[in-house]
Amino acid sequence: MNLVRIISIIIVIIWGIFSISPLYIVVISGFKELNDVFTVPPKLIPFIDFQPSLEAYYKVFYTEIGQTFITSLVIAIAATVITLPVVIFSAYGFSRFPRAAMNDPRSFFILLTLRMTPPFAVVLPILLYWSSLGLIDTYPALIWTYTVFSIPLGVWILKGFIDSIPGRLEDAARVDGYNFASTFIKFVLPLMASGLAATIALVWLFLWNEFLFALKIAGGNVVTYTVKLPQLRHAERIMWNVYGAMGTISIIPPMIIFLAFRRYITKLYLAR
Amino acid sequence: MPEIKLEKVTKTINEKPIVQEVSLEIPNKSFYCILGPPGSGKTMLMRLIAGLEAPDEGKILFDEKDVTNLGPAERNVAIVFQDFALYPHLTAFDNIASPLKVKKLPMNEIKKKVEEIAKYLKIDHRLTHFPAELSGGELQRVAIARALAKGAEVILLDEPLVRLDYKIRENMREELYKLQKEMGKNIILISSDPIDAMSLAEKIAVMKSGKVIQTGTREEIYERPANIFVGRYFGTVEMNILDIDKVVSKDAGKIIIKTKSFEMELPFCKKLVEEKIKIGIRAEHLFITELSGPMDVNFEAKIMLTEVIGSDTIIHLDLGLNETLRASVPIIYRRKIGEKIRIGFDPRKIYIFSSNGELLARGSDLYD
Repeated sequence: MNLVRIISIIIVIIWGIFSISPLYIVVISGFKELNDVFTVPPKLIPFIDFQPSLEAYYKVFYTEIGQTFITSLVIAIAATVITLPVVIFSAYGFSRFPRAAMNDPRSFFILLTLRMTPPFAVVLPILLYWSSLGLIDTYPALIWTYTVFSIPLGVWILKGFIDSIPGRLEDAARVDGYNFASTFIKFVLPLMASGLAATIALVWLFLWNEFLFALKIAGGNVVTYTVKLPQLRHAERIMWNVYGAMGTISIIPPMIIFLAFRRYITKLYLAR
Repeated sequence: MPEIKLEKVTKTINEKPIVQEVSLEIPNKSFYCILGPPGSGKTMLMRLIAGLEAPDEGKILFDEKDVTNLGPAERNVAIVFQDFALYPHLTAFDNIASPLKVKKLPMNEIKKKVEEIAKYLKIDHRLTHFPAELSGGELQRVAIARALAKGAEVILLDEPLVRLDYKIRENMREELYKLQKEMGKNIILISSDPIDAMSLAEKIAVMKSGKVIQTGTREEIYERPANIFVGRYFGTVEMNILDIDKVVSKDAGKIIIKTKSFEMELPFCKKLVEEKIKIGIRAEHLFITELSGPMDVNFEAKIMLTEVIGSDTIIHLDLGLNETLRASVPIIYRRKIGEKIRIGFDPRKIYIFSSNGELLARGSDLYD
C-alpha cells in the first residue's frame, strides 16, 4: 500500500466522521430523555451510556407536532404533482422546438433567473400579493408559490434529459404512423422516465426542505415541519430530544424517494 | 405505386435556404440515389419527401396526387435512418411491429408478418433482443425490417451504409440491390458516397448547396458531368483538373492545348479558342506507356507516392511547375519515389470545362 493510498483513506475517514457524526447525534438524541441530551461529556452509546426512550417520539406523534409532517407532505406532493405536467411540456418545448417563435434563448434564461433570485429578495412582494388576495397562511398560497419556484428547477433538469433523446426516434415514430400524442406517450415519456424520476426527486426534495416561504407565507394555521422545528421549546428549554426525533423522521421520506428511484438514477449513469 | 414528383420545392430555415427550387422526377419501382456532400441539403430533401418537414414553396406529388401538406403517416413512405433510430426501450420484435401496431392489426397477424420479414432479412433469431444488444449489421436489418413492415411503396434510406464497417457494407450493398429487385419497391438512397450511388442506383441526382445540379443514369453522370464539381465528386478517385495556359490554333483544322507542363493536339473547335478553359482527366484514364504502349498524348512525370489499394494502385505524379496528377492503374505497381515514368492518355477521354466550371465538351465530341 503506498503513501497516497494511505493518505486518501485517512482523508475519507475524517470526511466520514465529519459528515456522519452530526447525523448520529441527531438520531440518538431522538431516543434520549431531555436531561440526557445536555450531559457533558455527551452520552454516545445507547444501552451503555444511556437508556433509550421513546418519549420524544410520543411527543411527536401524540401532539400537534406530528401534524406538521403531514402538512409538509401534502404541500410538497401537491406542488410536485402540479409542477410535473408543466415541467414535462415546457422542457419538451424548449428542447424540441428551438425554431419556434416563442422559444427565444432569452425566454429560457428568464425562466432560469426565477431560480437564481434569492427567495429573500422576493418573499415580501409575494407575501403582500397573497395577503391582498386574502389567501395568506393557506394551503393554496403555499402550494402555488412552491409550484412557481419549482417549475424553473424542473424544466432546467428535465430539458437536459430530453436533449439527450435523439429526435430521430420521434421522426421514426411519426413515419411509422403515430400521431403527435401517441408518439409522446409511447416513445418520449418512456425514454425520459429516468430523467423524470430524477426531476421528481430533486423538485420534491427542494420543497420538503423549504423553510423561508413556509415561515413567511404560512406559519400560523398551516405549519410545515421545517417551521415547527426551531419552535420546539418547553419552559424556555429547547426540546433537543424532540428535535432529534423530528430530524430523524424528516430523513425518511427523501430516503424512500431515492431508494424507489435509485434504479432509474443508476440506469441513467449506466446508459451514458 | 407512386411515382414521385417534386416541383420547385424550397425550404428555408432561419433565413438560410437549405433546399432551393428542387424539381425532381423519381420513377416508379426504381433505385434512385440523391447524392451530395455533407451540408448539400439532401437529408432535408429526404425529410420533405417523407413529410417530416413541409416545404415553404413548391409541390410534392405522389402519383400526381398532391401530398405537400400531408404528414408522414398519410404518405406511402418509410425511412431507414442513418443512426437507425430504433426504439431503445423496445425489443427488435416490437421495433419491427411498431408500424403494424399503429394500424391496430390483430396480434397473431402482426406476429406472422414480423416473423416473415425477419426471416427474409435473416434476423429471426434476434427478435427478443434489445437494440443495445445487437451488432451494427443487425441494427441495420432491424431498421430495414421496420421500414418493410410499414408496407410502404417508397423506402428512403438515409446514408444506410456509413455506420457499417467495410465488410458488412459490401454485403449490405448486395442485399439492398436484391431487396429492391425482389420487393419491387421504390428505393431512394440518400448518400454522400459516390461508390454507393454508382454500385446501386439506376438514376442519380447530384446535389450541392441545396440545389440539384445534375440528374441522370450513372453512365450519363460519369460520361458527362455537368461541371467540375460533379466530375470531381462522381468517381472513385477524384478527377484531375488542369488549367490551360494557352490554346494555339494550328492550320489544317487542329489546335494545340498547352498546360503548364505538356501540350496536346486536338481537332479544331471554335469554343476552345474563344473561351478560357480547363481540362479534366480521370485518374483511370491515365496509363503508364511502358505497360500500355504509346498513347496519343505522352509526357514525362515524377512519382511522388504510390498507394496500393487492393489490386489497384493510385500513383501521385509531379509534372513540375506545380502541376500534379493522380493516375489509377488496375495493377500493383511499386516504384521508388522520385523515379520518372512516361504517362499517356487518349485525348478523346478528356473533359473540357469552361473557366466557370461548366462542361463544354468531351474530347471525343471534337473528333466527329
